Amino acid sequence: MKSPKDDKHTVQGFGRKFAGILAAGLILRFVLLGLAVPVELQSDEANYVYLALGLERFGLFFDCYRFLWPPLYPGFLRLCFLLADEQGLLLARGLQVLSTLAIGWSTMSIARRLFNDSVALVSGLLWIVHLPLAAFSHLLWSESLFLALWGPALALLIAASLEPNHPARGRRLLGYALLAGIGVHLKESSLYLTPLLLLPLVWTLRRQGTRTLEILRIISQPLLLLALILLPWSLRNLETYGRLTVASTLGENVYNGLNSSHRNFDLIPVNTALQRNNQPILQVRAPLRSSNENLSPWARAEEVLNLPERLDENRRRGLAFTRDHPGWFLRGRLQKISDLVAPVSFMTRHLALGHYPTSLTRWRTMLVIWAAGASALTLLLGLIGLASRLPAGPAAGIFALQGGYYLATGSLVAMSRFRLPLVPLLLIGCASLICMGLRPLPRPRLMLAACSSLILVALWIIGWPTTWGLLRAASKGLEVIG
Amino acid sequence: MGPAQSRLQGPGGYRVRAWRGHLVLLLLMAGLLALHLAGHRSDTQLRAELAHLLHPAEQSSRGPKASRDTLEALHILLNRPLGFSRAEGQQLSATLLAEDDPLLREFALSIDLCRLSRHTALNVPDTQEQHVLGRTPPPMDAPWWLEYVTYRRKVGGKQVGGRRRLDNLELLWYRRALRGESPPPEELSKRLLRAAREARVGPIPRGQ
Repeated sequence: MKSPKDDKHTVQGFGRKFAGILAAGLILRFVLLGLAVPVELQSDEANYVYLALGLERFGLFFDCYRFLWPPLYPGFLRLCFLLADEQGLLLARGLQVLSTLAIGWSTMSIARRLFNDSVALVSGLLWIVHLPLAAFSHLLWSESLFLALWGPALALLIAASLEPNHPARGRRLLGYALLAGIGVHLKESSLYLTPLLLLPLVWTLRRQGTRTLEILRIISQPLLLLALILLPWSLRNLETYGRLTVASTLGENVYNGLNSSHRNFDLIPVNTALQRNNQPILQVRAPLRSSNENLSPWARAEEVLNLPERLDENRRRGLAFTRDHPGWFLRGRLQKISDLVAPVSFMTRHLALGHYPTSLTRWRTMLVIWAAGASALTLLLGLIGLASRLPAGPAAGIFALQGGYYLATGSLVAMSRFRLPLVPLLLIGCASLICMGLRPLPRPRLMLAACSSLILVALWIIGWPTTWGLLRAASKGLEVIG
Repeated sequence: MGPAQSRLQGPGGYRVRAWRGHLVLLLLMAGLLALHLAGHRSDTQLRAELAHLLHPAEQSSRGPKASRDTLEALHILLNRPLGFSRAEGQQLSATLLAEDDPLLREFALSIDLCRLSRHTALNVPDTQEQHVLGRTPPPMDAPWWLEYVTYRRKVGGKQVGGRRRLDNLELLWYRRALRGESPPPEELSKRLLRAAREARVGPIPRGQ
């Protein structure tokens, strides 16, 4: 039996390893940042910067005509310009790198709560070396900051759900709502997920015989806080656009996702560059490429001046198109999910586009193998680990709901970036598999792990032509295509 | 348990005190709603505030320099459902582009007015396109660069004036132009020529 002194040493030892992993992750990300700058702006990065400049110059949050984006990320960039002027983007990237500490910390915390110290430490090590996730810390997408809020939010929610009678439950739930609510102002995709993830706690409380009114009291408080956090910006939108909304991107995503041809945003910029060089473009398998019915794409409702009304009309047109072509809709979803889980990433996309300086591209083949390997192994081993090792209970419910939610949003418009909120969970699954193996496990769990991994491999086979093309272009340059 | 506390108990001994947090949150939300209602301006009120810009011919003198309030009022009115028609938008664009205040001219090139502009055969906003790119050669000084970036680097496609996305060098020039420094003319000329060539022969770069 361990003495209290031994316990103290064990805790201190774990704490030191925990801190060491965070420090190593931070150093790797800063090294990557140092090698990556001056990485060229790409697509939405430029759009975010443009919105930040508009905020600085006019004091106004402009919309993007096709999107009404949440305000926090342009606001963050504007603050960086205020503090560092020409070096504003470097400051933003540096702060993002620092924020990733919260991702590493929360990943290990969740793993420790669900499994043990070993799984926590291994999940931390995997977090260090997950190159696509690390790369987002120097790219100007809101993902890093969002995950830095969402990870701790999830850790608090899981703690509250696993210990529903703990005195800190109320504070944990309020912390969850606070962090997740701020996160919605960075990425509105989590808007509906945040209340949804409270359901496993409701289920736990119900099972232990808590009265309905008490459950209502417990659940409604974080929901009210969430509403309070979202209200100021929603009211601003009501005043400006006549619509009480946090953000509005669905209409444009429906245009891209429920239309006559397939669009994958990992591919589009690469194909645009290939077209400019008069080279053949990368294409998905023929049956999944377009509706094959000689249909013209339906057009956006450009004639509608008001933004939310225009996006609503786009949504209506997309749904009408889907009702008329259910077969194409189903075929299209197969390719979308395949795009979502393809072992490519924005880092490999940027390498293919030549956006990184030579300080980084001199190791491009190694980086592509590292990034693609990290993505593929995390997806495969993470899925097997979660299917086989995740303890039944509210945490499993939270993981399943989050997985299902991002699978559903990813089936509308897919690209590798949209699976990022699932990566910390997959890292935990991966670590549990590495530390605990597959035995002894009940047969249904093994079947679940086998089925999910087979489905993943099938999806990789479906997406292989474009995945291979993207990875080749990333490691050798666009000239290898053709 | 004191008498005051027992009065707070509902059926089955359920404490009302436990709902205090909810009440505080609801009160804060009500406060925000009240602030919103108090600050709400109707289309008519906004039009009255902006009369010097919307009806310049009827005003004895030009309006004061654009304040943040003026820009905010314009932004709201231009984005409201039924706030502004295309014809009014085009008129207002022309008025603002003729103003001495650079901020008002730049605002006329923003998404708010470009979306309301009349379009040429090239499907670009006519008034704004003429203002930014109609002069040969363009001034290529700091004020013009701020206008160019505001007009040409926006999101939303060519129908609102956007063409290419901003890049690092253009951003650097923009930061310097905010301090009054003009972009280097030779490099800018080359860049504009290349952009014009790409615009004619290539697809519009896009992606996400």
